[in-house]
Amino acid sequence: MTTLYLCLAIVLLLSVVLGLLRIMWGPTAADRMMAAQLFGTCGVAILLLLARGLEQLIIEDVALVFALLSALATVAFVRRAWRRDDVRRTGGPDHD
Amino acid sequence: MYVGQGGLIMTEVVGMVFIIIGIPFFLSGTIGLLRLPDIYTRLHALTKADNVGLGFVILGLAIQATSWLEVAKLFLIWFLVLVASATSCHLVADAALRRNIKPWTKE
Amino acid sequence: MSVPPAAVAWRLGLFGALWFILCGGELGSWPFGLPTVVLATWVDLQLAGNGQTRALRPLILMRILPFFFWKSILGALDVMARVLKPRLPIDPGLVEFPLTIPPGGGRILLANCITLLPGTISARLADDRIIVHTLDKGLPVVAKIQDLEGRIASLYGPCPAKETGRGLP
Repeated sequence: MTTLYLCLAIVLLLSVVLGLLRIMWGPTAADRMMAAQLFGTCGVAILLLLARGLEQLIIEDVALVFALLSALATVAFVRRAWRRDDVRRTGGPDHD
Repeated sequence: MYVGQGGLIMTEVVGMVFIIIGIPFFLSGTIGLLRLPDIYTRLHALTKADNVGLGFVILGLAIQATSWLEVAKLFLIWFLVLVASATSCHLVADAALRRNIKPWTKE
Repeated sequence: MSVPPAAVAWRLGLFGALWFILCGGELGSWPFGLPTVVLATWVDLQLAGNGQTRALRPLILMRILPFFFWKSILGALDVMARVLKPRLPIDPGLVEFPLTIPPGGGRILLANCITLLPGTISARLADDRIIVHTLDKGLPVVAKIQDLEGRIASLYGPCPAKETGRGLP
């Protein structure tokens, strides 16, 4: 059973790694940020699976903090980090 | 819940079924993020699919949990992620509109 | 200004339960927990205008919750079906919707629920209207938001702020 939890965690991790392609492709900063949001939700699931698989319940608290921080990251990004001139590079539909 | 050494009981199996149901939702979230054409459509995939995936994983883990406190903590985590990602989705879409990023449309 | 006792009680209960969950029921945590819970209650009452805002009706919330869960699953299945098809059957666009629900928590809840609904995300909330992005312009977006708005309006009780003549910040 432990192996199954760890395998599922690895599947989710691979899914996140695949999502990282969006960081390469962009085209706007927000598209890149979305890959980070993906890691937020998947990350929580991965941590919870590890907590159960490794029988270390303390990892659930890490997942809790992760959940809180991913929201703050987006707020900080939208309010501070996403520069307005980012748009000039993305007039229309993107082309990747 | 383990009974003796490696003995499986019902909750263990049912929980695992729910966890496994959740995985395809995460995968389709990632596929959507890669395949969909613009910020707005990608947000759809990211917020809807991943939240439901996490919901199933958490439901499965809660069925397997050995204490009510753990169940409560799991659902607290799920609630936080749900509110956080719905809010994040709105913020990003709003910010994109403010920057006059036009939604992709079918010709 | 009088604070309704019920407004204080349910906040104390909620924050107390939250502390209990976070600390795993550890008895030794309460010397810190109790003042924290009281402080959180006080701060929340300040932010909520001393409990003079419209309160959620917990019982109706319980009755409506399964509807939200079900719609949320349908929303995820909808996205899944679309992104897995090779032809990517989407026809996205923006839809504007005039709101009838009064400003406050209800609107925020509506915006968040629209995001969970199949095929729609809320993109902007301003001036008595909401701009929604839909994955498929062929969906009955307006009708679905109207239905959702009605359900969310029913979650809230009468508005005491109007009776006391005190406007919300």
